Amino acid sequence: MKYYLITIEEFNANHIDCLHSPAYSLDGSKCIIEVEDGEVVENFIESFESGKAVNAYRYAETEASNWIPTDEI
Amino acid sequence: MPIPNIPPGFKVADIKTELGSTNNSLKALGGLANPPLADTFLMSDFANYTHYYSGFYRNDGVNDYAQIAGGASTNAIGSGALTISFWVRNNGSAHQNHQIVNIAPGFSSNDRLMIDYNTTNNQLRFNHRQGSSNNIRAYYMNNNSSKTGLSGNWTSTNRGTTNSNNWNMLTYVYDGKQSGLNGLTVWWNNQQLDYQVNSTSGSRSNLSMTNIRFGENIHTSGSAGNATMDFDEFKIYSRLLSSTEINSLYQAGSTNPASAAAAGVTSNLISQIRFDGGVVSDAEGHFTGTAGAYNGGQFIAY
Repeated sequence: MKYYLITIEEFNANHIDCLHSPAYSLDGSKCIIEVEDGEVVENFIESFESGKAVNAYRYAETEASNWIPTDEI
Repeated sequence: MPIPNIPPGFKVADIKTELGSTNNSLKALGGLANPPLADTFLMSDFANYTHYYSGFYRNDGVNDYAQIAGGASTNAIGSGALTISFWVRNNGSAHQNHQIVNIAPGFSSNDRLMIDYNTTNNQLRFNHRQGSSNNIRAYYMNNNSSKTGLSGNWTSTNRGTTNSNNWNMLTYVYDGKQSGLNGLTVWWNNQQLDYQVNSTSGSRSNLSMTNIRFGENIHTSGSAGNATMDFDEFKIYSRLLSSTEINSLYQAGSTNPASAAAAGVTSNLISQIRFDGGVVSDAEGHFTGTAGAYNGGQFIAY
């Protein structure tokens, strides 16, 4: 598996039928998709080799406010 | 996996011994027989068996979850006595929230029993949520460091006191007859935690335990609380377990959670989800469906 950060426009244009549900940013402008090894994803903002790498990115201080809701319940 | 060479002099009659029919284990093939081998085992019976493995479930922390949809409505979260016990291994290196287990009557409302870890406050939390009411009891990990062995946030590099393979057993004993959450105790392995926050709002009544989801909120996917965890040996009892029984479960799983069943704590066990063989199913039959993992969740053999 590999993970890609893409814009919502790119998701709607080319990945709306993706196998696994994406993880969306809080404002809905970006999402992270998970694809099978070998599947080609173009126009991505960033790629990640593992779920751990995804979370190192989105839970970092600079990004956390874009992914973690204030009311975490 | 390759089948070992058959030694000279091996007889067909030896197969039963080789497969370990006395403990229903297909040891020679590295797994278990499903259903268990009958006492009188015939070569022709092979056609009736499937080979499956003893394993656990892994959630990636991004979008995965595992669940069973469909369960008996008779056992309720609320006025009765419940014990929920399970094993987790925290694989999250980042400071992150973990939605550990949700049990709910449906998949679209907020009503649910929610067990989670909140990294902002470094708390294990139990929430009986109904409508807009939250009955939350929270346990600060740093204030319980003598019980948990944690000196900071709970992460893959700071797992606190675990069994020998980095697993924690978490147990929630919930006496719903007591008001609010006064009847709740939470256990880290075999240690009872002290709670620091008790927030109750609104009424609390029975919620039907119809659906269960591991690793994610039951009404969403890909949330910021998606758990980066391994799960195994999930159990629900319709009674309150004693400290002696909780200790027995923990000691039996001191190397491998899958061995916790050997503790023999089975009275009033109404649900047992072991994640063996690549399926999520309830051996005790409370949750009636059988399902797998969603969004790439993995089943891994021990």
